[in-house]
Amino acid sequence: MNKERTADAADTADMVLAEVTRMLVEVVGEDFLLDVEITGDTTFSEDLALESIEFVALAEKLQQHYGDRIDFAAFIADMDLTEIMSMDVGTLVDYVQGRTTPVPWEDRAR
Amino acid sequence: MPYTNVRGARFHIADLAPRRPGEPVVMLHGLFTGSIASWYLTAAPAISATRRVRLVDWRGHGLSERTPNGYGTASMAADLEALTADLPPFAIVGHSYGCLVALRFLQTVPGRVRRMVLVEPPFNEVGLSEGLRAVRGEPSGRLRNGSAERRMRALADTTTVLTDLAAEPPVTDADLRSLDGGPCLVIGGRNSPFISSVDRVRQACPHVRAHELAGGHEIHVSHADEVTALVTGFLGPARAEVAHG
Repeated sequence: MNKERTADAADTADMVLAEVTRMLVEVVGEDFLLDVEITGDTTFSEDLALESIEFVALAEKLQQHYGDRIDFAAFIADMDLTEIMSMDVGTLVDYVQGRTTPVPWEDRAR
Repeated sequence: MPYTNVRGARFHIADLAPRRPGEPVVMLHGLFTGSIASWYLTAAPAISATRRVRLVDWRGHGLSERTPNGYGTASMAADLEALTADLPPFAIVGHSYGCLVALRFLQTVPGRVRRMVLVEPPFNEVGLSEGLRAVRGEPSGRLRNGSAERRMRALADTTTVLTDLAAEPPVTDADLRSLDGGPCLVIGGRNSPFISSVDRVRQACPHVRAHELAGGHEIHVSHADEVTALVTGFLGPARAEVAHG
């Protein structure tokens, strides 16, 4: 059971990463992402040179795709701008995955 | 992506906590380097913990359409009116040129503004164009990079924004006194070319609260925590919307 759930979670993270990558291409344009392999370690400002307005556009696309479960404002509320922009893709993927994966019933009781 | 067409142009807006009842907060960015991100990635998330927040990209900025003209405060106050027509009376938090538009809006659209926070308003004798040149040399502008610079140049080169700014009438003491008619907070950065605006407001408006912080024009970014604390303290606890007549 546990093993199966771990496998599911890994799949979901890959799916979220693929979705985030697709959205980044939409936001900044394919030309800007040529030769960049986006992984969990890729940072938004350093590696992708993402502009702040593009980060907002990405956040809106996530919210549009995943719905109200994604509360981007709450996610970044405790970060300053430097922390937000230097975030790596994996941190965002983890947040999205955490908000989209149903909590197992037995864990909810804790 | 939330877009709306008003006054012949396509505008990008963002609502945080859109179903929260009570008085909304509308947050306005400055010209050139500003965009919806100016507040979205700084004070807006904390404010949205207790209040509904609407953020807008002005024409020519962020993801809104770059129209050839319409960058004077009268035109942009009309934009603001259209972009907030669905909201109950609200609080405004403005930065830089957003403060000038907010003042114009307060004067021309009565009854819509409940309280006002002006961060780094360019209300002093420094000309807007001159002040903007000084601000563009400021090193703390972490919201911009190469392509942002390109966009700023495109805005200056392909629209009437600079002539619109040059044609903008100076803010008079009589204009400033309209701020004194309701709850208003002004925040300035001590190293900003616009800092004497704060003293001007103090002299013209005895009821306006004024704060100075160490920092420059982009104080909402460089000192985001302090600005956020001042704004949330001033706005106070969220209250349910009451009937008004």
